[in-house]
Amino acid sequence: MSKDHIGELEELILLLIVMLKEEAYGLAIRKSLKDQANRNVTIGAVHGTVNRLEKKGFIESTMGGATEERGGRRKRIFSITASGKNVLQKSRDVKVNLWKQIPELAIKNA
Amino acid sequence: MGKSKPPKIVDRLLGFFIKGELLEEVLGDLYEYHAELSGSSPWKRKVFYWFHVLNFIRPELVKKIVGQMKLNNLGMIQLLFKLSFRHMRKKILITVISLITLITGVLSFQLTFSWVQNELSMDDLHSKRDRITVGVARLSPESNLIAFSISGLYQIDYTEYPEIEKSMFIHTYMPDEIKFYSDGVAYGGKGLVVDSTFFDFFDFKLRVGLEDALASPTNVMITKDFAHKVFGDEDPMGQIIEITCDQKGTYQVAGILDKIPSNSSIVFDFLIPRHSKSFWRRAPQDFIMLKDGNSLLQINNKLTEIAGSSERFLNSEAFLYPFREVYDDKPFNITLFSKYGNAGNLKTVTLIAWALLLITIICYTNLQTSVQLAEMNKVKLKHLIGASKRHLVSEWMVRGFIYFLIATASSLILYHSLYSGFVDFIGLNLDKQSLSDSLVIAGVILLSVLLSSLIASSNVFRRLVNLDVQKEKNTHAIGQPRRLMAIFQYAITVVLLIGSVIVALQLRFMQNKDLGIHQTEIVSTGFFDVIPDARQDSAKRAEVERNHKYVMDRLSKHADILAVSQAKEPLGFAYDLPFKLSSSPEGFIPIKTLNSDPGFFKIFETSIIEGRFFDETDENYAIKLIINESAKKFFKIQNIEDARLTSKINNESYQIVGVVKDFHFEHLSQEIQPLILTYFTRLDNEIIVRYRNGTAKKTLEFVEGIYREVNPKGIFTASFFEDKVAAQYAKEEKVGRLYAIFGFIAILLSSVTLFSFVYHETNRRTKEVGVRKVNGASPADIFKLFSLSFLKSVVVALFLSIPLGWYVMEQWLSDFSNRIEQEFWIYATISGIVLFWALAAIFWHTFKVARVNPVQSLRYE
Repeated sequence: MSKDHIGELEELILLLIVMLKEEAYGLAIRKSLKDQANRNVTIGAVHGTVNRLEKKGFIESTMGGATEERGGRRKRIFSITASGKNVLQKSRDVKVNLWKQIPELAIKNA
Repeated sequence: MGKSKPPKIVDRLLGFFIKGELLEEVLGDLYEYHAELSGSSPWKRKVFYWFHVLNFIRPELVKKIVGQMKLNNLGMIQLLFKLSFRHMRKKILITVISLITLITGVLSFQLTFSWVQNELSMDDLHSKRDRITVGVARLSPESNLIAFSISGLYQIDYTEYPEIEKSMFIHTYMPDEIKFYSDGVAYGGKGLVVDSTFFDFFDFKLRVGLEDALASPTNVMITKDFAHKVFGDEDPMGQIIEITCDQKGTYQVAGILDKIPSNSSIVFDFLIPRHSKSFWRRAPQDFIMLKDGNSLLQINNKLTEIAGSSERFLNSEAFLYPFREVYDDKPFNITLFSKYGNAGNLKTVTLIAWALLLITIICYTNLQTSVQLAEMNKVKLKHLIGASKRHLVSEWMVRGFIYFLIATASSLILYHSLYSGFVDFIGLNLDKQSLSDSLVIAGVILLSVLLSSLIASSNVFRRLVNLDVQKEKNTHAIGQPRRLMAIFQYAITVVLLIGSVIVALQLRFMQNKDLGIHQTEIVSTGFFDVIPDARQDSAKRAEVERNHKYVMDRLSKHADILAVSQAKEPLGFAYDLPFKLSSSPEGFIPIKTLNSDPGFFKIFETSIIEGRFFDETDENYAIKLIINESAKKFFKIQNIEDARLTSKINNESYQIVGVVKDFHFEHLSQEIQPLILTYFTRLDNEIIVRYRNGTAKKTLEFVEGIYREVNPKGIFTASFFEDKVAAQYAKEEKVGRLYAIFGFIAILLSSVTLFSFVYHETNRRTKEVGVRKVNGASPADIFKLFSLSFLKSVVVALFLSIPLGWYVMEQWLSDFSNRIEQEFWIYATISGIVLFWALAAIFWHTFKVARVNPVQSLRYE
C-alpha cells in the first residue's frame, strides 16, 4: 500500500489529534469521534488506527503522567508529525480539486 | 468510583495477547472507560466493557512472533503448527496413508457400531416396554409356541387379575390382505387393527393429531411415509379413504405418525380402530400390560393352571411372553413383528467392530512410531540444544491435533454424504443419528491420535537416555510387541477374508443349485384385491367372479402363454397342516402343505413318479392330494392306491393321486421335507403365467392390457419368479457383502502396518544397503533381505488364522443342509492374495532403496 494514502477513519483521527492537542489519547479520541463526527467505534479500533498511523509516521507519541482515574497508568499522548500534516493537506487538496470540477453542484451551492 | 473496579482477569488476558509496549495505555483507557460506564445497569456495563475488551484482540495490537527471539505461549503454538505442517508436507506419503487409515478405520467402526447400537436399542422407544407382554400358548407339549389370542382360546377375562393393568388386541393385515383406497386407487400397506389403548402401550411419535383419535370408529391414523405415498403433497388430514380386507369401511384420516424408527420391531403403515367393525377375520394377538414387570411369574402360574385344566386343549400351556424378549428370542413367527434379531450375527458384528477399531489404532500407531523413530537423530539433537521433553511432546501433540482435525472433518463429510448409499448397499434399515454418530467418530479419532502420541512418545523417550547423536543413528529394530500386533492384525484380516469368500461361494452355490423346478419365463400378477364374502357384498362378488373368468379365458388362449395357474409359488409358502394316514391309529402330524392346481405342474415342470398330476378332470377343493417322494417315505406308503390321508381340519379322507419327484420349495438352508400338494386356489390369489421363451416383453404388455381392462384405476405390478428366488438369499448376500467390505478394509489397513515396518527398516539400514551393494548384492538380494523377515510375520498369521477361520465358517455352514465343502484351494487362494498384498506393500518402499546408487546411500547419514 502506498505510504501516503490514508483511510477515512485515519483521516478523521488525524484531524482530531490536531484538534485535541495535549488531550489526544485513545479514549478521548474515541469520545470526540462520537461528539464531532457521530461515529461510534470501539476503543480497540481507535488504538488499532493510531498504531497504524504511528507506524506510517504520520503521528508520534509521548507518555503522559499517571493519574488516579486510570488506575495509576499513564496515557499515551499523540501529536501530528510533519508528514502527517502533509498527508492531511494532500487529502484536502484532492477533495477540493474534485469539488471544483463538478460544475452543477458548485453552481447549486453558489 | 472506587467501589467497582474492572475485573483483574482483563489485565491478564490482554497481557497475554497485547504487545507489551501498548499494554499500559490500553489498560488505562479501559479503566477509564469502565468508570465512564458507571451510570449504566451492571449487566449493560459488563456487556459493553467486555465487548470493548475483546475488541482489542486485533492484528495491529496483538503480539507478533516473527523475528522475535523470545517465544511467548501464543508464538510457541504458532511455531508448533508451522513445524507440524512442514513435517507433514515433507512426509506426504506417510501423512496421506495415516489419514486414510484413520478415516477408513473410523468410518467402518462407526457404521458397524451404529448397527449394533440399533439392535441393542431395539424397542427402547416404548417407555413401558418392560411391562408389555404378549399372550402365547402351546397347544400340546411337542408343538411350537403360538402367539394367539389366549383370552379367546381359554375364556380368560383379564380384568379379573389384579396383576394386569390393561389389555389390547391387535389384528395384523399384510399388504396383500388389505387395501387402502383413496380416490378409487388401491394402495397396499401393512395395517394394524388395534384397540384405542394402542398408544397407552406403544410410544410411536405422532406428528399431527391426538393420541385418542382412535377412540372414534371412523378415524384411521397413517404414517408419514405412507401418507406421502397415497396423498403426495396434499394434506392427508381429514381425507376420506376406504379400507377393504375381509371387512369394508369408510374412514377419515385423523392422525399422522412419524416414520417408524429403525429400532422398532413393530412396523406398520396405518392403524384402524378395532371397534369400527364387530368382527375381523385375522386372528388377533393379546397384548397385556402388567402393573409391575416383576409379577410376570405369578400371573403365568395362574394362566398355565387354567390352560392345563382346559377340556378342549388337554395338556396345553398358556402364558405371557415379555415383549422385550420377542425380538431376540423369536419364540414365534408372526407378521405383526416385521423383524427378529439374530443374536449370533450381532455377536459377530460387535466383534468385527471392535477388531476394526483395534486394527485402526494399531495401524496408525505403528505408522507414527515408525516416523518418529526414523527421526531419532533430529529429536536427540533438539533435546541436546535445550528442547525439554515437554517441548518435544507438545510438538507431537500438535501434529496429532492436526491429524485429528483433518481426519474428523473428512470423516464427517464422507459419513454424512455416503451414509444412505452404504446402508442401502448392505441392505440395512438404519436411521442416522447425526449428533451421536458424529461424536463417536470424533471421539474414536481423538482416542487413536492420543494413544498413538503417547505410545510414540514413550518409545522415543526410552531411547533418549543415550544422547550420542553420531554413533547411534536409529539402530532400533522393530520391537517384539509391534511384530505381535502385526501378526494379530493379519490374523483378523485372514479370518474376515475367509468369511467373505466362503459366504460368497455358498451364496453362488445356492443360487445356481437345481431346485428341481423350472424357474425362468414365469411372471405373476395380482389381478384381484381381497374379495368380499358373498354375504357381505354379493354384487361385488359376482362382478369379480365374472372378471376372473374373463381374465383366465383370455390368458389361457394367448399363443405365447404356455400355462396359467393360481397356485402358491414354491417359495416358502407351504404351511403346516395336521395330517395322518387314515388307516393309522397314531395322532395327527403337521405336514408342509402347498396349494396348487393343474397349471402349477405345467409351469414349474415338476416330474411325476407315480400316478398323475391334477388335471382338468379335477375340481378346486377336490378331496385329492399329490405327495412328494419324501412324504411317501415319511408315511411309509407302499402303494398309493391303497393309502389315504386324513386332514384334521375337515376330517376328510383324501385320495392320493400322484407322487412327484422331490423339489425345493423353501430356503435352501432347509432340507426337502415331506410335502402335500392340494388342489386349492382362491380367486384373489396372484395369477402366474408361463410364457414362451423370448416373449417376455410382449407377454407382459398383453397381461397389463387385460389388467387395465378389469382394473381401470389400479397400479399394475408384475414380478418374475427368478427374482423372487434370488431375493430369498438377500440375507446371505448381505452377510457376504459385509464380510467382503470388512475384509477389504482389513487387508488395506494391515498392508499399511507392513508398509510402516518396511519404511522403518529401510530408513534404519540405508547404509547397510549401500555396503551390500558395493560388495556385489543385486537389487533382488536387497529386496529379499527386507521382505523375508516381514513375510515371516504374515506366514505365522496365516497359520494361526486359517484353523480359526475354518472352524468359524464350519459353524456357519452347518446351518445349511445344502452346503459347500471348505476346500483346500479356497485357503490357498486367500493365502496367495494376502501374501501378494504383503509383498506389494513391502515392494513399494524397498524397491526405491534397493535401486539407489550406493554412492548416495553411503553418503546418507
